[in-house]
Amino acid sequence: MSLRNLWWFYRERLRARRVQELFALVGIAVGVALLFAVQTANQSLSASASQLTEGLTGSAQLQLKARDPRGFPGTLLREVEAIDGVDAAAPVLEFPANAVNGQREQSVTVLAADPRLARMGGRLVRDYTDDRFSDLEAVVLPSGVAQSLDVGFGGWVTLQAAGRAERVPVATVAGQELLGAVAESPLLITSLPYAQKITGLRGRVTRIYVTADPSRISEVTGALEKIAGDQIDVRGADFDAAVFANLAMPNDNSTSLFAGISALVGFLFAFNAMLVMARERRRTIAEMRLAGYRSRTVVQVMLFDAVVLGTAASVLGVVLGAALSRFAFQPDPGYLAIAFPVGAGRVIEPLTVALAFGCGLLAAVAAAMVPLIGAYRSVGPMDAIRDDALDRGGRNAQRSFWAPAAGAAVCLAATTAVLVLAPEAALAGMATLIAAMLLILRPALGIVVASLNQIRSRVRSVVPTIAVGELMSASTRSLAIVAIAAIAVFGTTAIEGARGDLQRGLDPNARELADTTDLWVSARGASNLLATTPFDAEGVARRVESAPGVSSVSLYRGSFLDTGDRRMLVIAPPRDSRTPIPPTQLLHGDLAQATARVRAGGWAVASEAIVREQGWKLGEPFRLESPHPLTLRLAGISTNFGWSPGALVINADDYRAGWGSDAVSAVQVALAPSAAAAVAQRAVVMALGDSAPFQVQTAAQREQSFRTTTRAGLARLQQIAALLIGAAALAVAAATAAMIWQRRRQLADHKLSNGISAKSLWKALLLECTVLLGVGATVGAAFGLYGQQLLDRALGTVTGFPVEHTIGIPAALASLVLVTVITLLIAAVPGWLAARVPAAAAFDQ
Amino acid sequence: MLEVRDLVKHYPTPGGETVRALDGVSLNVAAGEFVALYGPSGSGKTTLLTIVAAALVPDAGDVRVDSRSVIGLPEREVSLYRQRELGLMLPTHNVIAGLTAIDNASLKLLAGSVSKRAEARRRVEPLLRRLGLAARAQHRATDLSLGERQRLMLAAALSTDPPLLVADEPTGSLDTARSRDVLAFLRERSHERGTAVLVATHDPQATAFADTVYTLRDGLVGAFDRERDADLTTTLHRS
Repeated sequence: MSLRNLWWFYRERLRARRVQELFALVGIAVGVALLFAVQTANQSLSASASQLTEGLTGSAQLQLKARDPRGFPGTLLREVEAIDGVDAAAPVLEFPANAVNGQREQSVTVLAADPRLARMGGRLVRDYTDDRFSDLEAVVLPSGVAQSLDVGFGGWVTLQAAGRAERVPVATVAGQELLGAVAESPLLITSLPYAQKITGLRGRVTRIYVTADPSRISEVTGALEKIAGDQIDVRGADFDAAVFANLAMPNDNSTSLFAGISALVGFLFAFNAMLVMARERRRTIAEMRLAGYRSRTVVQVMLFDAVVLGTAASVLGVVLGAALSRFAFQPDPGYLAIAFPVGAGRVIEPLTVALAFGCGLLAAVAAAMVPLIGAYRSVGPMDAIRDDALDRGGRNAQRSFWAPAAGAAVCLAATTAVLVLAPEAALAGMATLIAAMLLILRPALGIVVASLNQIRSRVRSVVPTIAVGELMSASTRSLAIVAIAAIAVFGTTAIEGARGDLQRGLDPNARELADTTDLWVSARGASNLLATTPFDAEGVARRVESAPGVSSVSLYRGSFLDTGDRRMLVIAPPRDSRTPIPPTQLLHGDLAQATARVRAGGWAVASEAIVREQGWKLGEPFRLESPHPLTLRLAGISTNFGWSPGALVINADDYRAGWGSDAVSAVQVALAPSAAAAVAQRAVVMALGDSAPFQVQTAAQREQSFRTTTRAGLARLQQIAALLIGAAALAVAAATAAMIWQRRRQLADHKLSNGISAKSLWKALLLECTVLLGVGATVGAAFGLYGQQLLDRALGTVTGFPVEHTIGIPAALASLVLVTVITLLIAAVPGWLAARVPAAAAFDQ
Repeated sequence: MLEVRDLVKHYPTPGGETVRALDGVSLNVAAGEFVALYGPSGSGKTTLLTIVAAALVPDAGDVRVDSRSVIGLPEREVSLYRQRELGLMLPTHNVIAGLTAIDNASLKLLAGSVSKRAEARRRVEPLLRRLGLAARAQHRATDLSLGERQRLMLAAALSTDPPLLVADEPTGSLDTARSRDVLAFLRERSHERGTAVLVATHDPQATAFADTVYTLRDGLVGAFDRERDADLTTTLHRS
């Protein structure tokens, strides 16, 4: 059949089933939108980090990178430039800061450079090649930061950094046209001399980027290593992208896992939305066979149908998904922002569009093939004139109870094997679990309907007889609705349950990290949550100690240290800290002994992943590549304290030796027994001065900050669960509405032949929907609880975070009730309209 | 029992013309009378039956059942009319796929005066037996042949023992012998139980069983003439 005829044929048939086709279109579009939104949100952070690194480094291939956050002498630049094979070298100073404008504040990373970096061609600074940029005593704000601070060209912001505060003018605001996705990153760009001046780090830099003759890279690397000695690292220019990938890996892995589940769910939504239309397609096939069309033509027509519907639905789905990712599903850097200036810029990759589009199309085509295969197997041409024969495939299959039950048992066994033996293969486990769930639906529905059939004779109404009669046919469309409800509740139960378990696992860690003292004094800024910004303690400690209610102060140190590709968190509490090692986080080693050893000095506790990667052993010495390398011994092995690349605990004095600096990152304050925390907190704030660049937090407030940040990091999972339930309600409602709409002639016949009222027919439709949705949602909830266990194990394995294992029955019940009730409320409207069909429609042929 | 008076129903067409489906139709069906109505396709038979079933409002005229007009009845009364007074048999063979034949036949009773399933079954069993469906009573309705299904529809229509039976092509899917059985059953039903029966049909055998035969052409009713109206009947040859 020619394409033109196919199109004409499609258009003519579409006129007769516009509403049903619309419902299928909505179902597929919802699935595609879900997949697209999750994938976009997931990839945006990585893409944003890559753009940031590329935007900074330009043509540079190598870098000298400081281990100490306070950098190294900039005089090394001359030595670097003098190396044979070095074409250009550019110094950079970067440091965390807090930008304030009135009541608004924003944590930023200050990137300070000079025209030499601009000449390397990086997008971020390429407009500043003029030598006069070095004289700039102002800052450039990306549009995201400017908007957050409500400041623009000609305005002023206060920059709080390294324990100092400085008012700086805004030179310009750079938007997406200049910075791309980086425009949303929490950055601040300024000239190197100005940054050195306002931070007090005169003459110091944190990196030197190097462009070298490509044929002499190894020679140049060797020469750089000689200059670096054992206090500075020599790395590739794109090293930070690798570190970010490592840092984001657990987040990426867990979100990818959940995105994979969403993709599976989205695909199944789309697939089932098409199955709801299986009856219409069977009729078309039977009619065409009756009219003598060849099999090849029938296949062409069916495929054309599917491709047109799949294409239209996928386009709509991508548009919906783009809107979702823009307005409801924004990328959230969460904990990643603590160590990287990544923002919430949205990056749409062509691959994401292709994947979402392809999935929608595939679902439509695959689902179109089901009635085709079923029709050729079990529906004869004469069935074109017998409505109910079009459901025959479903009815025959219903007789087979044991085959699907046995298949489900096999799939469940495979899932259990994944759970026990290879939890990292959770996505495969999820696929087998969903397969088991789908296989069990028909037997489950059969059992429920058989039970209802037993009790319907006791009910004095025609309503249950009609509803049970329809349910007993267990048609493809009914099973498609059960399946959509099951998948929806399964997805939300598993994802929301696992997210809750991860959160519950992280909460004790937050408490123990914060509760080592009564008050914390640290540099302001959300990115300093983990107390990693150094400042000069001398004056601060003295002023704090003089505040009423303060019993004693001690000095806490900490920062990030790059080990391999890991940005490790170094926690260095004072020797007299109440619990230098958070008790519930120690996995291997004796807590009392490890605590005593860390206090004594020369010992460390490290996260399991680092220990495994570095090959360290309990009780044995190892070398820590700090600015002044230390030899320590391993006192215990811990979790990663919620910091995915891992952490290391040493005492503050060992830290001072390793970093060669008296700088601290927090002052811990012990209060007198009679002092109230809130009162003492106010006294400390007053002692420091209202405008001081420090934040003073009680242990409880600090714990809350930890919790808030970890929740932000897990927000994506919560968003996925919420989106899933919203998409589910829409998909189920569309499928249910399509099923109801297909019944109108039959309803008219009931009215006319049996005198059944519209109200009774409406009740029968609602009862039927309730049973279908109830069975689907209940099975989905039960399998969702198993899915939660699988995800818990997988998250514990891939993220290294502490995960508490629970069975989320309340969450499962909530999503069960939510999906069922929302869908019933939505379906009640088309149900009512369909029940009001004119009785005369029964005469329509 | 059934009085159709000066019934008019016109349908406008997109081309601006008017189709005169019924153009002043009048006929009576008395209690215990079997009336057959012949007419070519598009002659207005279905429109007439739809109006009698109170599913369509005519442009003019009236339909009275047991001296009461069924035109413009409120919805609840329409339901009661269809449940208690009217037995309607359509050619669409609509059944609930999951129910057995006997449950499908009981549906009308359950929708009306009978609340217990067992009682409803007890009342339709003799009808099924009489129509040759006793052995198929416990089968799924969708497992029945088209002919069996047609008889099932007749059993369902008569399950409430209505005083008026209206049937659209009641023998359309039956072989000659079975058609004869069904027509004989309709005649017996009308004569023995006093049911007024109005049948729209193409089956030439109906003339032998009906008490009165009409034709419907161009929206008008006339008396049936075997020679003149031969084109209206179709001989069914089914095995």
